Amino acid sequence: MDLMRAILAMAILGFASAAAEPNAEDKAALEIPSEAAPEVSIEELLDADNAAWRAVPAFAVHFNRTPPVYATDTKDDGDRPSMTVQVLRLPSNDVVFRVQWQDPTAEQVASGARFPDSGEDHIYKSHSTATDTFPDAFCIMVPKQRGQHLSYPSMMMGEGSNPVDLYYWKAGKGFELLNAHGRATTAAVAEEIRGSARRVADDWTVTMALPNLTSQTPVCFALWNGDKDHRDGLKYFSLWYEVE
Amino acid sequence: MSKHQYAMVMDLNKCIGCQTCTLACKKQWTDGDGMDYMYWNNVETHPGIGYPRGWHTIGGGFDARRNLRPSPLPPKEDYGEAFEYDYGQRLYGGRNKPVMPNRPPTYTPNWDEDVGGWDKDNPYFFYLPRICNHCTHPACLEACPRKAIYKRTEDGIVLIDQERCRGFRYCIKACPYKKIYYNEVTGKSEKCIFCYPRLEKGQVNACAAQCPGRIRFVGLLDDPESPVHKLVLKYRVALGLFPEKGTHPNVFYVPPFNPPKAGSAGKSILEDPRLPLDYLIYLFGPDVVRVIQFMEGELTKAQSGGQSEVLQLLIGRDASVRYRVVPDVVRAAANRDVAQKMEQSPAGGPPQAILGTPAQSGVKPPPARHALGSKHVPPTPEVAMAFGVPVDNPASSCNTSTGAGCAGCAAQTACGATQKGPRHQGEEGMTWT
Repeated sequence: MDLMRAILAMAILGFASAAAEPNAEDKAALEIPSEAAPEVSIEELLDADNAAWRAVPAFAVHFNRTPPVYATDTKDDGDRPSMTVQVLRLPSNDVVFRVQWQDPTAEQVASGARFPDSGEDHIYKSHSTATDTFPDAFCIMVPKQRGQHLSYPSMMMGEGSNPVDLYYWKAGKGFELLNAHGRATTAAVAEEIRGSARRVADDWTVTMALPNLTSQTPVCFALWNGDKDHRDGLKYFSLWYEVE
Repeated sequence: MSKHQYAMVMDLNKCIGCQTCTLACKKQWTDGDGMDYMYWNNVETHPGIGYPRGWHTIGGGFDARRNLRPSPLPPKEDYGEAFEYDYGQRLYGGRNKPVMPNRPPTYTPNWDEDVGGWDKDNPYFFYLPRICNHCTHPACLEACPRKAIYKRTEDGIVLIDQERCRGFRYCIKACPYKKIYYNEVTGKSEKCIFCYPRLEKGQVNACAAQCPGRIRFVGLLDDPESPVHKLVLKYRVALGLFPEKGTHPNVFYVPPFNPPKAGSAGKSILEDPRLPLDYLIYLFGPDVVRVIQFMEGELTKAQSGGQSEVLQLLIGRDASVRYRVVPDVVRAAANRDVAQKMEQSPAGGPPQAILGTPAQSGVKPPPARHALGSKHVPPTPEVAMAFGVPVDNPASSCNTSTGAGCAGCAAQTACGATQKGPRHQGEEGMTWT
């Protein structure tokens, strides 16, 4: 019995110390390396095929899934996607992300269709065509207050004392900046987000420029797979990382 | 909890399925882009499949423990495609070929028109006009994670804040009546607004105003002079659709029982019904039997030379009988709400959220009411009477579900008048973040 108590105490002690002070290897695992961008414009870097990306190391980000909200939501099939992340930092501290992930089914926003076979006149310029589909999407969440954070914002869209910016891309619609300070508080901001997206074979590749992302600013990522009816909080999410 | 509740009663014995209400609504509200398949008002044949296909069999509403029981999201195929034509062709266009939809229809509203059922030599069907039920406990409101759906305190109308909505469609899954539609073009969900801009101007809903059969009655449920109060609470001849779904709808139906079955002379309606009672119980709950018994008694009375107040009311010859739209009463309630909120506001100024309706203030409607807490809010005595739920007031013995009437009030039809004023717990401290 004494032996067991000793083992248990050691285990607790070990866990506590690990929790309080992550070792260097763990900490490194949560840092995304960034490369200084060559002398090219952001617009050029938004081209995922730009030669500048070839020299940038790819970092693997792994995702978990949020629990389903309703019994009728798509069941968790155990799929845990990952994506590669590349980061280029400009002298201005603007940062360009290039992310790539595999998704065999591409779901885009259905944004209405004009029936081509209806002659010149239409009652409706656009018909709704696929009201039960949801688009693939990707988001980078960063604290509104840039720079190193002793305490990261809540994973659930930040909180009042630590609001977040959400750089959001929705397949078929484009890029959008949202602000949030807690769950269900997202609000669109009228600010242009520079980014591009392309679909090649089974892969989505998205590039996105985030302004003023100073070193060690925390970032985390989210993925929505439309094929699994993902939307809102039903999605894949990553841990917080710090951009080098 | 709403201070007042607008409600509608539809007498299904009078509906001729002409779809004038459908077109009135379509022309007024849903002729924009992406709204092609939206019928905030639709009329469907019953027994039947409905619109969208099978809406009454797929789920929605609450279970017995007040948990949401959302359905799958109906695919577009269950709505069908709105017809478009080669409009340049016009009629026959000089050719021996009628104008047909460009795409072969696969489903439409009222797809199974007049099919109904068949019992030996007795075919039967009736029409069921449907709008949003503006429920007392809206499942859509509880399901919305963004609290984009709100129920107006001044008149109980349920609306979707188009600025808050991001098209997640939990509301569509939660609604047991499938009366919310997703607009692909705007990326937001939309629904019947009970013609609140018309009501605010003293005009009745477009669907009601245009109804040739004069089947619709509109007013405040808590207004003793309104026809809906009389039909739902005084005479108790109008019932909500699928009461077991737990949302407490505020659109009520006088169940169809007339005309009697051919060859059933001398038999009572319940003894030889034209429509299977099982189906009416399926739609309106077991109370439908009591209503039919009562209505048959009233018919007998009238046919014997007596007077039936409820039948006179249901004839509804004049608009003044069928509608009682009271914008002043609703506006006063909204103003009281604003004043109350201003008093409660720590800064002393008006919270942006409750500055009133668009018609009054030019700002967007009051934002979402508390989504998760609403099911715990005690009902007002008026609403409690309507739905036969216990009233949180020991002085009252109101219980319409047992037929005991209202022993604690001065007048059976004005229960709330002798009790403390309308309550709205749950609004204080609400957030809509």
